Amino acid sequence: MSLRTLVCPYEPELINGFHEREIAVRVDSPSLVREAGNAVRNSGNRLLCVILDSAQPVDAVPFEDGWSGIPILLTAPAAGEFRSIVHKLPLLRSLNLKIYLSSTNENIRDARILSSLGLSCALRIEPGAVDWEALSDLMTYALCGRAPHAPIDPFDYISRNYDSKVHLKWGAVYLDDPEKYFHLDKEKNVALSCKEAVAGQFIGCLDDIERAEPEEIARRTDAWSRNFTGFSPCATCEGFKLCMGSLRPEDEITEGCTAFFSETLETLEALYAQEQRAGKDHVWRL
Amino acid sequence: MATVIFKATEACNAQCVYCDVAHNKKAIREKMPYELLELFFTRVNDYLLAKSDDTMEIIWHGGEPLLLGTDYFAKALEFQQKQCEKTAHRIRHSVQTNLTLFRPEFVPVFKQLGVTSFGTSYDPFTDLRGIGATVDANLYRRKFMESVRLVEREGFSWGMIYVVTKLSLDRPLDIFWFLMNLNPTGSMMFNPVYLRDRSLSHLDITAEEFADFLGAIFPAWWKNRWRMPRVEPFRMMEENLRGSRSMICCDSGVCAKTHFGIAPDGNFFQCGRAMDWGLLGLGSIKERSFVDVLEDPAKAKMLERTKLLGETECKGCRFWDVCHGGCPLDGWLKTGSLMSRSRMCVAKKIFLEKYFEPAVNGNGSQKKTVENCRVSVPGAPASRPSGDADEKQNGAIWINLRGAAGDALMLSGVLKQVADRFPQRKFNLVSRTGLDPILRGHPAVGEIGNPPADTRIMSADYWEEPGYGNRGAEAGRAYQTLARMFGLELPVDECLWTANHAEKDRISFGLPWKAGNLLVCPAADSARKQMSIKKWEELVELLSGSDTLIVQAGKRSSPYIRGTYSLLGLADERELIPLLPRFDAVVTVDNFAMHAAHLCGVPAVVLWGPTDHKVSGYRGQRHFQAAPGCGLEQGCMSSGSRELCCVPCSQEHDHCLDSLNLQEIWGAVGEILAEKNEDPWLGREERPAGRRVEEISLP
Amino acid sequence: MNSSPDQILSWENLIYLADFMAASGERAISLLGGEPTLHPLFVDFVLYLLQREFRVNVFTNGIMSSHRLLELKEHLGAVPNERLSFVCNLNNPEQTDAPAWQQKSVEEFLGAMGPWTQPGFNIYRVDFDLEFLFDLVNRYGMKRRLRLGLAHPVPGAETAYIKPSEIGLAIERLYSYRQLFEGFQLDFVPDCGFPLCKFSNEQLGWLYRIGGVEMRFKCSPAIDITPDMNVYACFPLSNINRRSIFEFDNMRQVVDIFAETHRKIRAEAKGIYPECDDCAQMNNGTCSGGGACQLLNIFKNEASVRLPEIESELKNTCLPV
Repeated sequence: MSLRTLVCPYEPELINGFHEREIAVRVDSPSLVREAGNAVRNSGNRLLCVILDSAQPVDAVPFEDGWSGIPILLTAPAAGEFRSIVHKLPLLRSLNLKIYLSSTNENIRDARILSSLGLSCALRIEPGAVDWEALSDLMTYALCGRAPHAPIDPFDYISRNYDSKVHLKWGAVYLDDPEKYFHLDKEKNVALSCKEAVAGQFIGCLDDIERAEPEEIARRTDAWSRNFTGFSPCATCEGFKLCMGSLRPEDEITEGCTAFFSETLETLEALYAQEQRAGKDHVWRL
Repeated sequence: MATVIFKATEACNAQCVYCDVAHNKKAIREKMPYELLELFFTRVNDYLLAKSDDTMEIIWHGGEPLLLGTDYFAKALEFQQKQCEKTAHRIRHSVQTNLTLFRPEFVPVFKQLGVTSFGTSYDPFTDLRGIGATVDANLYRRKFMESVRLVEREGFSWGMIYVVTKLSLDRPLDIFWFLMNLNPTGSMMFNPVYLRDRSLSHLDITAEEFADFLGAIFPAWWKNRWRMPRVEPFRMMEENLRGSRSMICCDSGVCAKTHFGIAPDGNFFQCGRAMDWGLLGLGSIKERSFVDVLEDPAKAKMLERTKLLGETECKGCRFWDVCHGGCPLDGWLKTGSLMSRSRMCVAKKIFLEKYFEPAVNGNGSQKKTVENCRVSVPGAPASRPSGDADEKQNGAIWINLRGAAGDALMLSGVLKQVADRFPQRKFNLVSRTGLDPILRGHPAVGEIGNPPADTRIMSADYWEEPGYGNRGAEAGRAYQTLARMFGLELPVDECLWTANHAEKDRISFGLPWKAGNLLVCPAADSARKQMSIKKWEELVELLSGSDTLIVQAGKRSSPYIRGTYSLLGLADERELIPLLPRFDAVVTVDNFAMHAAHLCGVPAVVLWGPTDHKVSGYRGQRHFQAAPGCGLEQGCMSSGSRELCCVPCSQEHDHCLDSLNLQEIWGAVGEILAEKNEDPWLGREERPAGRRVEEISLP
Repeated sequence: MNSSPDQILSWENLIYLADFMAASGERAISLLGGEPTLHPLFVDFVLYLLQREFRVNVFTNGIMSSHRLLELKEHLGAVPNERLSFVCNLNNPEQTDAPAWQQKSVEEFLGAMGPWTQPGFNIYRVDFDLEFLFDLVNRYGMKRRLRLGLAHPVPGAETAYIKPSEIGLAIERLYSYRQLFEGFQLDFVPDCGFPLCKFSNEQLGWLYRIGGVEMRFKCSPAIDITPDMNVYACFPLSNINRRSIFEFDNMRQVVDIFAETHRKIRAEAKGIYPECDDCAQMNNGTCSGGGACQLLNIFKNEASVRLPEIESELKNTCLPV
């Protein structure tokens, strides 16, 4: 079984117990960012990133020069006031920073603004109240924008990994991929996603799981195939290859997500065709 | 490639409702004995030795071949290795299976046999396919999905046949997307259900229904075909459109040459379906070789079917090449005769005509024509001047000319002839940049300005007139068309005229005149009528000599031709006219200079491309007409196609004018210069009185 | 999808336009209107464009709320005036009926942003008075370059404008202020539509001495983009060949389309005076022969003989007499 990347809270004892593992460490206070990053590096493990969960919008986060060199995944509820952020732009650009926002309309708009100014962003797309049309607009910008801009995930990830012949899983954008990431608590209990870790839904202890992988992981990996045996509306969706039913809305109203993923597929195909004609990647990235 | 449908057993764990084998009481549920299995591989080897260029595909079929178990396949491998030592590399194995019994244990032996793909069949929405006596569809689906995941994880590819029944017809797109989303790595094929059992007639579909089913899903596939698996019959039809002749057995018309089936008891049949229906038996593997079977007269008869159909039922059908009458067993199902065409050929025809061709060829909408710019006052007569009384009643007609200065010069000539014949006839002219200077002071023109709203307007856009551009008729020439529009009886002398030219040119006094003096005018109102700068420079180099002055005239913004003496921007149309007689010849394209040279009686060599010298050029001038290489034989700016005037030529370096032979042009200029000594007026500053040139009468 | 209604520019469209301009190699953007400072996100948009490395020029009437003025001072007050500039269109308080509070607002704006601001003046009557302008320039430390325009006919609107026959008088009037221009070292560059022939050689010499080589007598597409992403050559020609910016890949294509529109108009009538037909300066491209908008005036009340897009414009609007 291949070793997963471990996403764990900042507990020095926990981290020091790992050896040559790739670790993403979570902190909820900006003051711990540097400390946590250095702790992982000094423990003989590889630092994937420091995850800073901020309850404040981005413009209120006290960024520091000392954070440069530390890959930071910042989750925030919103971007905040533009004119506050704009004064911090030189510092923000100097950091290895990716900003994760939820997919509200304001955040969809702000992700575009931040990306156009050179700040890498990601939108967490959850089933439910998503303005699919706005998201589609942002997708077009992310993939086809004519001026250089910072990547916007999950679109950037999808476009770099898209293969028309296979289904594409992009949970890795959010570190939610049971084949690649385990989410731990301080007792090394394993959850298969961030949300489950927060909710305390663990499937076992890391040591046990790495000795003998439980069926739950294979079931989760193959969960998409249950759309085909359970008569899910997703099974007949044009955009299934990109969604795989992961964003199936509870109310089963699928026009929005179907249109979004179909359009994304078309855009990817058009970009691919363009690439074939020109022989080079047209999507410029910082 | 020879293909054998190899049924080592006809037993099956599923009981699909429409399956002939499952419900055939005569089906052989036992496994083919090992002796026969070994004999089979001996026959395979014999065949491949006899046909050194051929390969053989063995399709393990049934029933359900996975019921044979891993040991059986291991034995098959052993026999192949033993009997086909020298020919094994020309054997390909594939397996047609419902996949519900696929297990990891099968993987090693299949890989050793060289199996890389599985063909299967599936139905996502109905209960027609199911496992066991109870036809458990849910179990079937679950097992199928598990097995497909395993197949993919073990590196095999898989394709699928979907059987279209009556129950499929209400949701074709759901079915299509479901199957596409399963992401088969091999091909997908949609087949109509074939039913011999009349108790299942509720599942049967007509040819039209099958065509409409395909038609409902085709647009989705066509739009996204680059990212879709190969879907038949669509891909095959598309490939045939492009000239490839790849076809499945049913459509090839030559299945008899390439296919046969073997039952578990070793009996040969024409193919798998023939075996299922007990038709077209061809003896036993115990007595006959594969070569024997493929050369059997019964098979020859099947090939005759193809020839016969092509001369009878299918004669003249434009889809013959992608059908060949379809599967003979389909025909037999309908008529009882193997020589009939398939009942599903109607489906193919409908699908191709109604769905495939429109999507692939476009909708065939008519090209929009340019909006006619000719306008007139509602309720008033549109164009021709009808008489003095008409004018007295309604005031002078306003002529609206949308052309360039050359057109104005032609109009001036026509109006002069009108004025000469009908001195009392007067017109007004809608003012427009470039026209006023040519027509001001014309005896037939009164006012030049802005026509009042309720006045009579006459368009002078001769290129819009019916009959214009007809090269076979004099009346189709530009000048003649314009003359006809103004009521002159054809044919008329093509005389040009203008009163409003400069009395004397301002610049010729400063030019370094030589023994031979040429004027080149490369620019035209449309870039399409221009030869490339590079070609002009090559021509100028040919024309240059110590005793020859080459002057370039045109607008200030025109590109300069190296080697010429530039008067760019120094002589507008009015000023060019008195300057022209100083030159021995003009080399130009279809532009104002061509007309002005005719007006002034100066010999001209005119270069033509998108327009036609027979329509717009003057007699007496030397014309060089380039043949268009763009497929527009009439030229891209012939009658009715002036909308391309402002659009750059898409041919770029292959522009027609650039194909003209410069040596020939040079030769023509040389002739003119040589003739100069015979004409006492050529090259002189003064010419006989008047600016009119007495044109050679038209035959 | 826009995050705001079509009447005001949205963030998404602003970013699109910034990308479009950047991809076209444009480094300067002018914000105009209406009154651009009325946009609720005006300051944010300016900050954004500055971050995108554009030079920003804002055309304003200087009339704004105290809140907006405060925002300008706080967030734009430190921007170098090579990066950010304003053109404040000024009206003579005695010749216009502007209420006192507007004048006060303008002066407050100039008091805050004077050094960033260039005065602008539109000549709409031949007896215009410019003296007030020199006073404002001095009092508020404004840039010493006047953007001087001729009021042009606006289709469908009953606005005052300078007719071709009056342009000479307007130039004479302007020339009468030469001492003040020279004394206060205020230069100006004529905006579009001034015909060269209406300047005497002496006036041209004076213009050259104070304005240098930037004199232009041309009329060419200025390219305006509306909040709902439509584009046209300039406001007076806003209904001719109006297109969506999304039809184009870059500014070059936009300019070419509208240059072609201009060419078509000029093919109908070369210039605003009959003499334009034979004018050497028109032929050599020094002068455009007045504004294309003035040419449309020539076709009013005419029969339908012009190009369809011109006819459509003439039909849909009521040109002033």
